[in-house]
This record gives sequence, C-alpha cells and structure tokens, in this order.
Amino acid sequence: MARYGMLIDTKKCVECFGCRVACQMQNGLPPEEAFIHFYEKETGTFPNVNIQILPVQCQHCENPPCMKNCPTGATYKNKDGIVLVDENKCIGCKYCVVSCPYQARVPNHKTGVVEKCRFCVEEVEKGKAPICVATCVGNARIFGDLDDPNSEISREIIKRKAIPLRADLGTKPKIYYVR
Amino acid sequence: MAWGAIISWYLFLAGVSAGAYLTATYVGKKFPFAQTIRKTGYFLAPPLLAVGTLLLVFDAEAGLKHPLRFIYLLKNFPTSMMTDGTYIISIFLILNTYQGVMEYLGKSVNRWITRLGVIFAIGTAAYTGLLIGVVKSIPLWNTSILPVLFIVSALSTGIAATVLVSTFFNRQACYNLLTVKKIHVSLIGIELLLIFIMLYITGSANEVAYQSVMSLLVGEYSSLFWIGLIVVGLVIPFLIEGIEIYQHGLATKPKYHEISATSSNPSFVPTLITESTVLIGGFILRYLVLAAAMTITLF
Amino acid sequence: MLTKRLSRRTFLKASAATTALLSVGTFEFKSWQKIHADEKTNLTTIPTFCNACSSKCGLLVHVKNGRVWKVSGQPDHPFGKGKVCARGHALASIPYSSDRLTQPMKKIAEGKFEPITWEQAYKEIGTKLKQIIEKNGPGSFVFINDPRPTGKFYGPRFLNAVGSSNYFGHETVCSNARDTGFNHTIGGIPGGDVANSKYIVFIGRSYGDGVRPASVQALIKAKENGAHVVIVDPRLNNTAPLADEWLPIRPGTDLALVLAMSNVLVTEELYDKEFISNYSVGFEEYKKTIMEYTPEWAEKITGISKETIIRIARDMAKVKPKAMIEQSWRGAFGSTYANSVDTGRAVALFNALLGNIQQKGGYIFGKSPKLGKLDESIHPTPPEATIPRVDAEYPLVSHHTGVAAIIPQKAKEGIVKAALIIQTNPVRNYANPKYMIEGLKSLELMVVIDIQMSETASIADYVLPEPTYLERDDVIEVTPGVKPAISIRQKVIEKVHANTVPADRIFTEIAKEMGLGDYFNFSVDQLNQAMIAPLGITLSELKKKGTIIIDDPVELGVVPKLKTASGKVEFYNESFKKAGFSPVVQWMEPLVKPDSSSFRLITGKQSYHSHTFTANIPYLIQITKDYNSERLWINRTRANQMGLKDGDLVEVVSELTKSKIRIYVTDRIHPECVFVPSGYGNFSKNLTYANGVGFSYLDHLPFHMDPIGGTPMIHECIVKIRKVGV
Repeated sequence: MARYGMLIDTKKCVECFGCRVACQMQNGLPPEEAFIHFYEKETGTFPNVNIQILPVQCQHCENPPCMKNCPTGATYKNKDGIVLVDENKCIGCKYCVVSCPYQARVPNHKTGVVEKCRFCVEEVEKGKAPICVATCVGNARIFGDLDDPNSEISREIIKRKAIPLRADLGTKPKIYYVR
Repeated sequence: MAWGAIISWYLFLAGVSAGAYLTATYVGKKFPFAQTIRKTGYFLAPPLLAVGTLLLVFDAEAGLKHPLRFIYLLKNFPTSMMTDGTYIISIFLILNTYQGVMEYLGKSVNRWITRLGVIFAIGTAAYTGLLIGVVKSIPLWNTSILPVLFIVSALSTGIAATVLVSTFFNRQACYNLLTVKKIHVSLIGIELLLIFIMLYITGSANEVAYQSVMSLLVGEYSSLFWIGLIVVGLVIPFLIEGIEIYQHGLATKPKYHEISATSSNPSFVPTLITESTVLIGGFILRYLVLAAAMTITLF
Repeated sequence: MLTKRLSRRTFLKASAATTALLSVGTFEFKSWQKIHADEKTNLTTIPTFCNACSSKCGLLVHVKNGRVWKVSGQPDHPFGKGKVCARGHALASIPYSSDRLTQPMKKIAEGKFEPITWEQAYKEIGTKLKQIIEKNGPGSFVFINDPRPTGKFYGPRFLNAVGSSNYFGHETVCSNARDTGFNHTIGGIPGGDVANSKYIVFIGRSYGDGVRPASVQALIKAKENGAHVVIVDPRLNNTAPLADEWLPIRPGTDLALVLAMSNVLVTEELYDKEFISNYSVGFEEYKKTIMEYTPEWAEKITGISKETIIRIARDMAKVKPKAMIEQSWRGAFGSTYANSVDTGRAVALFNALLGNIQQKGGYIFGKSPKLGKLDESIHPTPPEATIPRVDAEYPLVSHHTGVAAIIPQKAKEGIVKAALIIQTNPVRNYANPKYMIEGLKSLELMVVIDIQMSETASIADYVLPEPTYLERDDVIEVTPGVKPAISIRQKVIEKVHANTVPADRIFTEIAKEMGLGDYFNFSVDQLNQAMIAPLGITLSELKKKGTIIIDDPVELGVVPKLKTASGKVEFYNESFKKAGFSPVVQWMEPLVKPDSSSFRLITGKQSYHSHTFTANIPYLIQITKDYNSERLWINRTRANQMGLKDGDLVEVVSELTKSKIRIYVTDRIHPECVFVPSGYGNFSKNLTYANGVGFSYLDHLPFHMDPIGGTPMIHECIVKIRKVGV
C-alpha cells in the first residue's frame, strides 16, 4: 500500500512533448489520443513577456469527481491510490469527461471507452517510474510515495514548495506542481 | 465539449416527455372532457422518453458495442447523478408506459399510480438539470437555477408538444383550454426571467463562467442565443399566446377558468407557430447550455 | 457479483432502451473475467541510436513479439542521457508507416514511376553514371548525404572511387555560416560547457525547441548553480522557462550586439589579456575596428538599450572564463542573414576575449577517438579525388559540408550531370523549391535513396527504398566530447518490407556495376570491427551495450593548438582577405529590411519536429494539429493595427508566392517580423499526413546565396500579411 503521487517542476519543462508521445507508445494509443496535455499562458506585453507552461494529466485525485460521477463504477482507485478505469465496465457515457476539472479524460474513438493517465501502473508495480517521468528530458518529473516522508517526492514537495492544481476544488489531487 | 447535439436531444426529449405527462394529468383532472389532450399527453410521454434514452445509449459508444455493460448503470447509487437518473427514468418509463397503455385500452388507472407518475415526471424533468448542475468543473452548469430552469422548460415544452399534436387531431382540442394557455404563457415568462437571472449570476461567478456567458450573449453562440432561443423560442410564443389570451379575454369576459363558448373557428396558425417555436426554443436551450460550457481554468 | 447484478434484470426489463439492447448478445460476460490478463509476450530490448535529428541519441528499443513497442534512452549516451524526446519516441513508429517506399522505382514520365528490380536499378544506374563520368568527367557527379555515419563513410569512398570530390551535407541551410566563421577564427566548433557556466547567452539557439536532452539538463544544472541565462532572439522561444532575460533583438542585427559587447570588453579592458597575448593573432587590427562599435551605436541598430549591452558584457567578464555566448547551430547565424558568417566570427572572438577556450564552463573542443581502418591489403582504399569541387567559388566553406543549395544552379549550367541523394530532401528544405526543382530536373541522372516519397524523391529518375533505421545496421557513430563515445545502430526488427536494401549494399552494388567493386568488398560488420579494433572494443560488446564511453577525457585548462592557419585565435584572418572579404570582423547590414507595411519572415524549430523530416509521422503532426502550432506568429500590436485577431486566416504574400495560414497573435515576437515554424509545407502527395499542413518559409525565399558562408540566407525574406477575404 502506497499513496503514489507526482511532482512536476514547470520551471524545468520546455514543452517538448516527449512525455505525451512516450505515454502514447507505452499505452498503445492512437496519435489523436493523448493523456498528457499542455497549457501555455502568456503574461505581460512586448517586450516584457513571460510564458508559463503547464503539463496536465490525470491528477489521481484522492477525491475524484470522475469516480463519484461514473454511473457504472468503471472508475476506481487501486490499493495504491491510482485512479483507474475498468475498460470492461465503461459504457462511454462521458460523464467523467465533463466532470474532470483537469480535462484529463479522453474517449478512445475505437472502443468508445474513456481512458486517461494510469500512472503506468504496470511499470510502477515492477518498481519503475511511469514513462513520462522516465523520459522527461529536463528531469522535471518526480514520482513516488507521498506517504513515505523520506521519499524523494515528499522531500522535494516541501523543498520546492510544490502545490496541487486548483486545490480549492476539494478534489485533493496527487500531482504537485512547482510553478 | 464532450457532450453535443445527441445529449441535447436526450435532455430535451426527457423534459418534453415529463412535461407531456404532467400536462395530460393536469388536463385530465381539471377538464375531464378534454380527452384529446389527455390522450395525446399520455401517448407522447413514453415514446419521447424512450427515444431520448436510446439517444443516450447511442452516445455511449462503449456501451453500444457491449450492451450488457448498461447493467452497470445502476451500480453507483446514489453517488452518481446518472445512476440516480437511470432509476428515475426507468421508473418513470414504466409508469408512463403503463398509463399510456391503460389510456389506449380505455381503462382507468389507480390514482396513486398516476400520482407516483407525477412525482417521477417531476423527477425526470429535474434530473435533466441536475445531471449537469452537479458538475463542479463547469461553472455555467453548476448553479441551483439550472435545474429549476430545466423543469420550467420541461413543462413548457411538454405543454407545447401536447397541444401541438392534439391540434392536429382535433383543431378545437385545446383552443378551449384557457387555463392551459395561461399557465403556458406564464411558464414562458418565468423561463425568460430565469435565463437572465442565471446568466447574470453565473457571469459574475468567475472568469470562465463569464466567458461562457459572453459566448452566449455576444460571442460564438450569440445569434443562436438571441434569435433562436430568446426571440423565436420565447418572445414570439409569449406574444402570440399573450395576445390570444388577451383577445379571448375581451371576447368572453368574465368567464375565467371555463370553457369558451365561442363558436367561431379557432385559428390553427397561431397555435402551430406558438407551440413549434416553444419546442425549437426548448431544444436550443439544451444545446446552448451544453455548447457554451467551459471547464474551469487551471492557471 | 454477476448473479447479484442479474437479479436486477426484472427491473431493467422495464427500461425500453436497455431491454432492447439486452437481447443483442451475451458474449460480453467472458471478457469481464479476463480483466487485464497478461498476454504471453516475447519482450526484448535492443540498443541502437536514434534517427530523428542530428544528435543521434542512444536508444533502447523494446520489441514485443517482433514489433516495436516503445523506446527508452540509453543512460550512458552523452547526448541522450537516458532520455528520449517526442521525435525519438514517435519516429520508432516509422517502420510501419503506410507511406513507406517498398520497391525500387524508375521514373517513366513526369510524376510517374514504375517498379523495377534491384538488378535493373543497379545495372542502369551504374551504366548511366559511368557514361556521364566518362563524357563529362567525375566532377559532374555529386553526392548529398543526410547526417548519418553510413553515408559519411560510403559517400566519400564512392566519390573517391569514381574520382569526384563533390561531397555535400545539409549544412547549407543549417550551420554553414556559423561553421565558416568559427572554423577560420578558432579552428572548429567547440561545445559549450553549459552545465558549469555562470553566464550563458543564446543567440537564436533554443534548447527548448531544438531539443537535445543533455543540453536541456546542462542548462537546468547551470541554472541550479546560479547561472544567468539570456535569450537573444526576436521571438521569446521555448527556452523561456530556463532563462532569466529575453532580449527581443531586431532580426538580423545580432552582429551589432556582439560587436558592441566586444567593444565593452575591449574598451574597459575586461578581456582575458593573458589569453589574447598567448593564443591569438591580429588583436590590434581587431581592436581598431571594434572601437567604432559602441553600445550607443548598437542600441540604434538592435533596439537593445546600451545599458543592457554594457551590463551583460560586464557581468560576463566578471565570471569569465565561466561565461559564453553559446555556439549555437542554425539559430540566428547558422544560415540566416547576409552577415551571419561575421556574426559567427564575432561570437567566436567574443568568447576568445573571455578566454573561455578549453576552460570549465566555457568553450571546449571535444575529443574524437582514433578509429581503425580496413586492412588495405584485402580492402583497397580508393585514391583521394583531387579535382576541384563544383562549389569552388565558396573557398571558405568547409568541404565536409559544401554548398548543396547551388547544385541546381550548377545542374542548369550543365556542370553537374548526376546526383546521388540519400535520405535528405533538398527540394523541400535547401532553398526555394521551385528553383530547386527546375535545376535538379536538368540533371541527366538523379538517384534518391529514401524511406518515403519525399519532394526530392518525387522528381528523381530512380528511387531506391531503404529499410528504416530500426531495420538495418549502420556504420558506427562517434560522438566527440569531453568524454567521447562510440555508438552502434543495429537491426532491431526484421525488415517490414522485404524488398528494401540498406545504403551500404546499394553503394556496393552500384560500384560493382561500374567495375569498382574491389573498393567495397566488405560488410558493414567487417568495417565496424576494423574501426573499433584499436579501442579494444569488440563488435559484440558494442552491440550489446549500444554505446561505449571512451575514458580518455579532454584535459581542461590547457589551450590546444587551434585548427586555424596560425594555430591560434585569428582576430585578423588572411583566408578571408584572400577570398576577397574583410580580414577583420566588421558590421554588415542584413540584405533586406521590412518597412512599416511589411515583415521579415523568420523561422525556427519546434521541439517535436526535425524540420520537415518528421512531419509525416502521425504522432508528431497530430501535436501540430492539436495545438494549431503551424500558425504564423505575429506581434499583438501589429496585429491590432491591422485589425487581425488570433486565429484569423491570413495570406502571406511575397514576390514569389502566396500562402494561406492562420495567425497566432502574441507578445512573444518582435513587431518587425513574423515567425513560421520550420517543420511544415510538405507538398509531396505521397506524404499523406504532412501534405498540406502549414507552409514553408522557403516558398517565399528568393534564391540568393551568401558569398562567404554559402547559405541561402533564410531570414532575408520580406513578406506582407493580409486578411483573407478583405
């Protein structure tokens, strides 16, 4: 039993899309289906401009609205707190798609099943990191057990003052961002 | 938006079905002689709901491919509003089908079953609003007014559908039911009011809500909103029906709540226009509420 | 659980919709039970290196039941450091592309090909090439290579065998100008030791857009060590999250900025005097010229305030030698402006003023291991060709790169008659395509080896299909560096299309047809074995590891003899003088200037594309589509003045053509230019996914060549923008 989470240091992310494509390969997704999305925000006016880059995927909320709203119970949390979709229970009603504040849910156009980031659960079970973490060119991502105070992620969240996205929504996401 | 026209049709048809059932029940109780309306309402309710539900099933692609998965729809009670809705709609469908069949056979229905039907009809109308109203991530939806608006619209479109279809069978069927017309015109007025209250309050909630509201008022959907929903769907039927009632009032004063004794040929065209526009407006309302939805920002 | 659910069936029956569907079938029940059952898979992991860009990072390819599943990084590779970018991941899908070439083809009419056998291809090509060379001399044959080792070995060997010295790379549109400036000034292109630097200035180069994992990591490390990072670019590029400061310079004026920064170092005597006196020539002449280029002067030209120029120069001097203007690739002076060669020289000299050569945190000339050769007694080496090159009018440009963009011109003039082009796309990417097509069509023989029907392949006489990088063995790759590395590309999966043949075989067979087979009487394995023999590595060991680091590090702090004529830093350059150019770096205006109604059209990379090479990969072009990133960047104020809104469809109009494109309205770009990403504008109808996405800057670029650096000066292009429908 663990409580897996991720830290994403946006100050080390150059929006290279390596994580997006790696994830597509890992999960055998078609090109038009991606679990990782990027948001870009421009602030200021020329020449005093800056940009913020925000990679977003399933936040593996402790209180996931998708799971609450899923009528079939296809969405569930595993023992390690990873939010998963049982593809054999999903009817594709897309209620979870509209419910997710992070817009992390993606319908698979072939099967109609709604999918999303799975924290590469089969890699994690082998003791490895999810592929987005493993491939990140800037090492912007850290994965680990939030319940273990000595884990790298727990220490770095404190050190870098990382906070979840829209904590005000009460979803208790487990991806922490350095902004 | 993940939900588009199909879901709009579903929300719309479920509302019309509930409205038709309520109209039939009300008319049946108040005006026992107005058989066309009662029958029409009870006959309309089951197929409209069934078609609506089928559309939902059609939109749920994975379920469509693996139909047995729909059994799971009943699983997440009472947590998921969709599961709750599945129960409500299923029960309502049983009740209104029973009612419709009995009406067809000319048999009377136990009044407690009809009362239960009324409760589940209101439940169905409310559910279409609650389904999206509980979605926190979309500010345009996440308001208490929305379910109320959807109930009002369900009643209004239910009356419209019933009256429209009845008129085809019997031109005089509803011309004589002044109360129904008065209720209808009030509903349209209330709907108009609720839309503006909702947009006004929602628009000030946060930036995304404001963007959603602006996309309706001045942006991408403004022509559909102003011309389709406000003018065609609400103002035109409000005026035509209002004028009709006013003129009728002059002609038959002071006989309120009674059957008109006018022998003149009732005008078919205003009814046709009024009820059709209300139905068009009802669909546009659902469509716009889905289309203009925007998810909260993450920055 | 199932029965419990079924007990509710009575309830469900009432629901018309569900009831109707329940009757469809019961096949579903089975799959409920085998949730996530592990299939029996045969999973293997084989090392090789990437082909998505010139970095050639080490990969581990994960193969599931004989099919590529995914790739991950080789932890030891000096450029990849265990990481893979989007291109690297996505390119691994290319063996299965539906747009692959599957058999040799011969042109029978304009745009029409017929399949032929390999025997026929070898025979006809060999015979024709022999005839052309006999009639017009070996100088009429050119070879254009993509940046990969097989071509680098076999190409020149083949050229030597036939007696031609016309070897060309893609650098004419990449780094020729910078290379020319650097080569003649400091004797080569060093690598910036970014990780250990305290102050890094990037001119046009963007680690966030032209991604090499090791570079991104080095910059992050530098930032963590407190380095100051400055982006000099008319566009706030995607290195922004790793930078402290953006200087939105007027495009084409980087030279003025560097000259003025150098002026500050010289006038305030902040430069490394010891280094200059020991390791340079001609400093006094340089000093005289540089005095003119004051920060006040540069402010007017560049739009960067003199205070900023002075501050940055002084701050860099404070931390020298751990400071640098990064050496860049194409960036803002690789093949960009009329003054790019001089920008290259000025940048090299500025770094010399900081005394950062071969210093930690500065410019480091990497090492390359000494490789072995084939046994001459069994495998004779052809004599080195000595005839003049066809691009001899560019004496300062390295013969290792050449000026490929002028080949069409030489073909039209009847000087070049035959060309062999391997996996590179001159028609789309080297200069204006109309010009390229027109010229190349006058060749008597044009042979293209590729994996898909590029724009260049589309006009070839013979198109020869190769297996992709995952289906073949290549010649070993040397990665020079502080610690150099040897990597191998090896066959990871069986050929998807049986009738494809790797380039080394193609060279060998054509040579045989020409009676030159003795020069190619070896296999790639034999060659690789011979090359690595002196390093004490066996081929099987290399194939197992993929990359081997040669533990013979560069000695820092010791300035080597530079590979310039004098062996020192050349502030005054005789070669330039001899070629008719200024021996001392000086200010030169860019070739063209926009006015208030026009824009300069500039370009640059995006992290998920290697120019147009990757545009046909569905996983990468989908990113473009999802984010509408083929759009043209335009400054917000200019757009407002023109009544343009974000997402508007506009027409880009130049002397040459018109392109329709949507705009991205942003404050991230200088008002005098518009920016189009370099990865789009494929027009070959056989590139299903790339065709029709965006447009290319080269469509608008008049054919003009920089006489010093041999580049088409890709930013010297003026366009007008107007809203479509107005």
